[in-house]
Amino acid sequence: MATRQLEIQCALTELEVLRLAAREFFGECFDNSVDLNRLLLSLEEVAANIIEHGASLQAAAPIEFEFFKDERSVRIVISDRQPSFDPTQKTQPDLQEHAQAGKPRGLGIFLYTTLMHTEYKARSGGGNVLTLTRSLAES
Amino acid sequence: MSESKLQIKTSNRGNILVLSVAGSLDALTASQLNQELKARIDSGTSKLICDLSGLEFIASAGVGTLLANLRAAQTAGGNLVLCGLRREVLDVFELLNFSALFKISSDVEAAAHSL
Repeated sequence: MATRQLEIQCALTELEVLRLAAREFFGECFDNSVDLNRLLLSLEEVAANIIEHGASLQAAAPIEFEFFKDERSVRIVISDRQPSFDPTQKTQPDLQEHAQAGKPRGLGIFLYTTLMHTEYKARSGGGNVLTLTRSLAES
Repeated sequence: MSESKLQIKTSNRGNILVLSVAGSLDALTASQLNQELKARIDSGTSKLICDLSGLEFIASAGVGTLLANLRAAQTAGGNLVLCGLRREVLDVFELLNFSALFKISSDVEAAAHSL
């Protein structure tokens, strides 16, 4: 299994760096650009949520990413040092209500939990570890 | 494929404002597009076209910005029409069941006819 580790600062300006690294690593895993984009989108939504919630914290710690790929699946492990938050326990938004109200935010968790198998665990010593997995047979 | 931050160019087509949006529309850059759209709608422009043919990536923050300004344009008696969406960009709207909320045209010409 091929792997890559990456660490970014807790800043929205890092999102582009993250996407480029993920595109480079996972690009060959997908037969079409839509499936690759869905993985990049999921990663983006997780990272943006962590960064936006971490922005209010002083000296927010860097966010760590581990990429894994083999012929059957792709996996991303995201680790942070922020207050405990389990997105898999969050109630999914009512998309129709969201659309009617024209709400600009609040759809990220829906997207990545829909597109990727998502597992959460608390990080030893404080923080969160989120694992996103997708079988390549689904592509 | 390289990605770049957001670029917005504006032009007028009669009483319609065309915004050509290129690059990446994500949690960092969505506020830039929101400021541009909000300023135009607040100043009385309610018929708008967003030409997304140069848009390489869109996240939920970008979709949400377009949705909020669609509602603002409709409240002002106009509309915000999208055109030129790449497959990857259209897919994000479809994942959220938002593609039916917008008029989506193939190009600026068709979008202008629909307004």
